[in-house]
Amino acid sequence: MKRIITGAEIIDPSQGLAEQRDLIIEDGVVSDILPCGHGAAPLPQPLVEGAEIIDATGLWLVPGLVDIHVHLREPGFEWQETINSGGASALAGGFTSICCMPDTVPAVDSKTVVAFIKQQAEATKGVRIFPVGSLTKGQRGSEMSPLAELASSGCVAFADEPEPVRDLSLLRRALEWTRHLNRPFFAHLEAKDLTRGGCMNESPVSTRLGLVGLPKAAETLMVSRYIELSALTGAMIHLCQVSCARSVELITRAKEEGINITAEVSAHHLSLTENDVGDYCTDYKVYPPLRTSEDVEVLRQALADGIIDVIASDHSPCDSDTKAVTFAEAARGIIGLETTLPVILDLVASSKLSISKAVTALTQNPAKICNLPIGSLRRGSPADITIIDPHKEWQVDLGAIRSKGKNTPWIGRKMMGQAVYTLIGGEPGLRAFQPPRD
Amino acid sequence: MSVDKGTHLLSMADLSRQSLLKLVENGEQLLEVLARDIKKVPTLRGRTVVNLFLEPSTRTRISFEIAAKRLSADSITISGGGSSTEKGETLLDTARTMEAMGPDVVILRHKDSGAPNFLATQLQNTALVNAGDGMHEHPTQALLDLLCLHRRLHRQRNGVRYGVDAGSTLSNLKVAIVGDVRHSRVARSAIIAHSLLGNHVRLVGPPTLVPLEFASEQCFPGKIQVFHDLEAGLDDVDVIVCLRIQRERLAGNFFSSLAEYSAYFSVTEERIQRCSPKALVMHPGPANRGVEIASEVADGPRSLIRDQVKCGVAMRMAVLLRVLSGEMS
Repeated sequence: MKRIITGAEIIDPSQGLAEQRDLIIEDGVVSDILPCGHGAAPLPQPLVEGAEIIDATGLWLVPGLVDIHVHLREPGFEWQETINSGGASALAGGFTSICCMPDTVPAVDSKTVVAFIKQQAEATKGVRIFPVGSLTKGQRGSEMSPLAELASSGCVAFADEPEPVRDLSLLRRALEWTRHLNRPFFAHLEAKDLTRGGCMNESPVSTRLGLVGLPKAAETLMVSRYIELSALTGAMIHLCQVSCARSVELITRAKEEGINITAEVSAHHLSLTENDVGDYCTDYKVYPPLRTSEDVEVLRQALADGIIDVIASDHSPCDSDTKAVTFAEAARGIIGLETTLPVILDLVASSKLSISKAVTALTQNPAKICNLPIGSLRRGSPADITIIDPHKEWQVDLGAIRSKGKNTPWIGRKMMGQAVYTLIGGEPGLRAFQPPRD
Repeated sequence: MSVDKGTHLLSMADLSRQSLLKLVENGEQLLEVLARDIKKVPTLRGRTVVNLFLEPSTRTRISFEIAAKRLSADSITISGGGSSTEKGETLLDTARTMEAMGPDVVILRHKDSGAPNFLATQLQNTALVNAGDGMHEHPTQALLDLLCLHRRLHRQRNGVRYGVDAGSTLSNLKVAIVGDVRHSRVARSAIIAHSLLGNHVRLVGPPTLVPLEFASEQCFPGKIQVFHDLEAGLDDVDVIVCLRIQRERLAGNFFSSLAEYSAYFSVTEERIQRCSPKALVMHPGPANRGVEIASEVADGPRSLIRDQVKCGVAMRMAVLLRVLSGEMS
């Protein structure tokens, strides 16, 4: 079916585009982007013939958003989230593609598990779901998974999330394989010997609250480690959930040296700090922990400068039993698929991030890291599209969250800006508004 | 009826200088009740106080039980050993059961910092007193220590038995807190209490047990200094508070052995004589004799340890009265 989206402000950093245009979709791909047809110069009749017209005047149109760090919990933890509910959550948040992490039970360490995930993903008929394979069998860190088999059955990357591999010689050989298979390795930045019992950033605040701290060194030691391993093996290493200024410093220097690393940051690390833990509210318990306002400033600048490549949510649904306990006992994790976009739009609205950099970090860059043929609206690209109403006022409502997990610090918060319509391969995904027909 | 946060006592930070001093003075008046033959007053008759001690305790628990009984309240204790929490019942469900039973006050001790804060979100109609939450705070300990200190200091100065303004005895003091400050809820509450009174606080111990963060303004506001040398820390102080060194900390490599700790940081009579011969010594108990404190000091004339226990009941009576009157802060 042919579709024409008219009047939107099209922001596609992959083409350096940020202008009001009309976009034509045919056979599931972007067939053209034309100057807006209106008034004395409407779109030509043959073009419009037989097409569904979607009037998106006043709205923003971007390539379908991509979140490369999501925990879908299935197989194994279906009470926390399923591929279906996670897909619905992604859709509600304006995402058209997500990568799911391998910390399932069984772990994503064989083609059978990959096939299961793909099968479940088919059934949702919505968001594109790309599996990430586990670097080691069962995530146990002792034997390499059949990486080639995982790659050929559909894994777009490998990860040791959230159990970092300790054996450096295993890691080295596995990275030689991931490089050979041309897949990135997603590294979880936690030196576990330093984080035992830790609940929040190690600082005067954790000292005052009487909570065991999580030192930044637990993250930066791993950043250094992976920089060296990437230099040694040539593997592409993607650093998950960078949270502090020192990590940014190390990454900056490594990139200057041409080392093959990329980095991601979450919406919560771009906006919240350790002071928000306040009255021991477990909705703020996450790894890496929320750090200081200085770190937040540096992370924002790093995103603007391209030192940090990607915004990714680390969507971690937790059931309420694991959060309705004391801070030390609570599970770590914040859901993010439905709140990432509005929080980022808020940063854009308050001039802390440009819309172009934000869109790049949510489309082109994540697609490039995982080598996915998406994240751009160039002619011939799959028509994966997210339409955003930047002025839509709404509130994060417990009852309206699509994820099974409700663990977000933003319950009740008023937001401005939301995805209102998405297309995946030219077919409608999210339809949160019915645009008038021409 | 939803209980105002102002009726809980979760942290010393909940108190103003004025309400802190008022509490100490109330405690002193209640010491007088405890000096009588019949040590009971009917003030809280018909009220129920539940002691929810999910972390083992003998002295604090008994102190609260006696305090409630002296005020004629009904006191019930649920301790970690015998309660259904061992069967896997969560703090949340325990809280809901409490709420349904309708006590007037719940006194909570728990191994995790912030547990009372969590419980407070669950209890709508019950006042809450923190009897020690993890490493965070132990406000009634800080209060009873102040009462004890006040009584000794003004007896030293004036000889008059009752009725002197606590504000004047308890100010312009230099207080040293020695030992495992890092893991101590007694220390944190004491730091806040003394800072409210404008006193100088010195935190003394090895760097693994007294991290520099304690001296940061973002940690606790006030005149707080960290010392990693015992004698420098004890120089010319009025009060030395000794904290228990726990054997369990050996597993975390906070010190190599109790012997090494005590060789450098034990509070002995000789060291006190050299640094601050007039100092008083306190200890929240139970003391590891020969480790953080020498026996001769614990049992000697400068020790307030026995008085601390006596003041505990009176102070907890004062806290119960205040919490139930709805006027904590």
